[in-house]
Amino acid sequence: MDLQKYLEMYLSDGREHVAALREALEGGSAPGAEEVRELFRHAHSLKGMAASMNFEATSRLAHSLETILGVWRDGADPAPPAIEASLRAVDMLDDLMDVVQAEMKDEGLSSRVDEVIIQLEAALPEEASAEKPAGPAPGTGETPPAATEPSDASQEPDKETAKLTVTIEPGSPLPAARLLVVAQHLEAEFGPCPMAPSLAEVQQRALRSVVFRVPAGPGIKEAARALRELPEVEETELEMPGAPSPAPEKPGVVQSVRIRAAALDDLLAGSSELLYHLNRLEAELSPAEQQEHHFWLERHRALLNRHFDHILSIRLLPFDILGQRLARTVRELSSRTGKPLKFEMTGADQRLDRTLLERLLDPLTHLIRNAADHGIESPSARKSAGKPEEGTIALTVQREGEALLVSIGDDGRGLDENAIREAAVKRELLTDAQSKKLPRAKILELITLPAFSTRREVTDISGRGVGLDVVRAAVEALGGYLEMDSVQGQGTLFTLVVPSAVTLTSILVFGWDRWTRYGLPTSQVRRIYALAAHPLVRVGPRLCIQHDNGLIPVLGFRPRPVGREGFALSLDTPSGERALLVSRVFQSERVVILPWGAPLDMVPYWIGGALLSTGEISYIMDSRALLRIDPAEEENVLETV
Amino acid sequence: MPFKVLIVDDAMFMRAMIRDILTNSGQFEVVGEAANGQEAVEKFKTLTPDLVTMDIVMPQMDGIEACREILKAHDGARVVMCSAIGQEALVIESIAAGAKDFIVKPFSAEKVLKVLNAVMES
Repeated sequence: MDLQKYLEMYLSDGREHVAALREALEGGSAPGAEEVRELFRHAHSLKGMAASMNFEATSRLAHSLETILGVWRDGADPAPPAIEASLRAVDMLDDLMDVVQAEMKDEGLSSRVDEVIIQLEAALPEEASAEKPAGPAPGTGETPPAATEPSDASQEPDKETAKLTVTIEPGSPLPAARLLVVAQHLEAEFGPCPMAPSLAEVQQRALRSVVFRVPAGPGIKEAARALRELPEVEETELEMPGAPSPAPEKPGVVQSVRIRAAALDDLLAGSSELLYHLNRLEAELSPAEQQEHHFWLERHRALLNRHFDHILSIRLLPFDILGQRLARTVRELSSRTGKPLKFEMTGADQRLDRTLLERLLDPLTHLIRNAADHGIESPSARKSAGKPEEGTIALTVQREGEALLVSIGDDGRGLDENAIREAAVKRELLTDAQSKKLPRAKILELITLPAFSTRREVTDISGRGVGLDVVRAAVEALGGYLEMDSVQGQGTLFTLVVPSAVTLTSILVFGWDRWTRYGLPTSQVRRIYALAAHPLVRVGPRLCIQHDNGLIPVLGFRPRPVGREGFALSLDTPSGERALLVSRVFQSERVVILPWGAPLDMVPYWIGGALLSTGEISYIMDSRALLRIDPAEEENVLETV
Repeated sequence: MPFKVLIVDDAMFMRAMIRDILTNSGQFEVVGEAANGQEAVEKFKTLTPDLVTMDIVMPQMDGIEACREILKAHDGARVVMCSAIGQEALVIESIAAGAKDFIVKPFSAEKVLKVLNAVMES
């Protein structure tokens, strides 16, 4: 919908409501019952209008104002502080109208809006802070028919009544009202049908599912099906009298079952084995037989691939689910710290394994909290540093090869490298000489050490660090690691690099001897160079391989000596192209990478294992991780600490 | 033949939005608008629409009262309530009073049409 064309009408209608609110509230004396009803109406209308225009701040503020006016309408006395807070809300609404007029959006004032909302909430009588349950509708003698029936519908159905379970879609804004509409439909056809739990309970507990008791007669099945066509009705399930229990294989009966994630892993592993058997079978066949059975073999393979995708998609959820929660965290932090904060999110449509999603919540929340508390400066400090008063916290989700990169960045004060250096020496974590020699990245990494993180005074100097050891541990528990970068005065970026868990991945299989197989995701391997044609050369302290376009530094990771008959795999790494020397290169194939269990998961560069079509196990590595453990890249002083 | 609709809302802005959604669908024809409950009851008598979209919170006579009045005189009238989110009690009261269904602001054209079509079919 093109909202721009409604803007003028929105402003003229909206300003009228705001003016009316102001007039009644500024009257000096507490508004009377009639006036309060009017006030409520203006706030309520404004809320609906603003929401329709996607003016989130305005609608939120109007909602808070409406809540307090609703309390007055229902009999509470308007106390002077509450009137004061309401007037401040009206001022704010006026400002928001101005902003909308100038910029056609109502963003940018959200921290001030939050402040006003907090004042409004503080002025609310305590018992009124929660949404009121429906109960008998206020102001009328009538009560919703279905709500007052005894709630015994969940009991065993007798001979004449069937049990009809109706479930409302999760996105429904008013599920209780929606269920009442369903109840009315049933009543129109079958007469009153008691529901359980009661409507009041449904409303209070925000339930989405109830059981109706419906007279079992002709047409009931048809009616249950027809209900499914109603707006927002997700599912109906009918249990006829005398039926022992719902038959789970009936389509549309079972909506969801909870299963252990491990069961899915077993399914995946089983499918992986099936693929192996298929490959073996194919290998046993003569070329003529292969030709003959080509159709069935390929069909089998296609089905297996689809099967994989199914299992995988069961485990995947959009990152946005987490993103929404984090956005709320930022809003809360903004109002708590009094710092205006903006939250930007990119890549939220990435789909992630659900266990991974759950386990990312805590470390990300932690990083966001750190950014808000320690990273982002006060509005006045930002202003004098020439930055916008509103701080930005940015969340980025992206895939890089088999890894998932989740970053939290802020445009705050950044990390003070020298302060960290000094503090590390003072804490006797490093000698003075060591601290001078240590590269910048390693210095920044120091703040993730427990000795650092737990000390407030150091945190405050370094500008960051509370509980970073916890974040680091959480990421490492996922088989990943924490990267960080910071420019003093400009901001800090934390990146959680985690394996994106089980997927069907194409790998290149190689090894250093005849027996053990290793694999790297083929997406990370740029080229394979035969060492016979591309000799190794020494450049300064580093070994490189030479090819037409120049030199590629060789990774120091070398479990076995590699002779001239070996190969160099050129890998894409975050630091550029690097070569890994290997003795043998076998095949490339699509496999399921399964995470290792303890204790193998402690080997940092193995991201998992895979069963090859030949029946062998392959240890899967990751080029990023290889880079990290490579002694030639940087002196790993941390381990000597 | 498109269904005849009476739009009731105190905000001209909301009426315009609903009118556009209905008119653009081709399935509904807006035969009148009212800015409060009293006006709605009177216009219903003369226009006899197939459907009324009724805001709940309005000056003079609110939507629930207007819904009752209309149903008293016209038993089979189809009234669909429009409400901003957060006032579930009012919506429940409206449905108990005989409204056929409801839509919640902010609403999408798709959602509005789905609800109105369902009401017209029943």
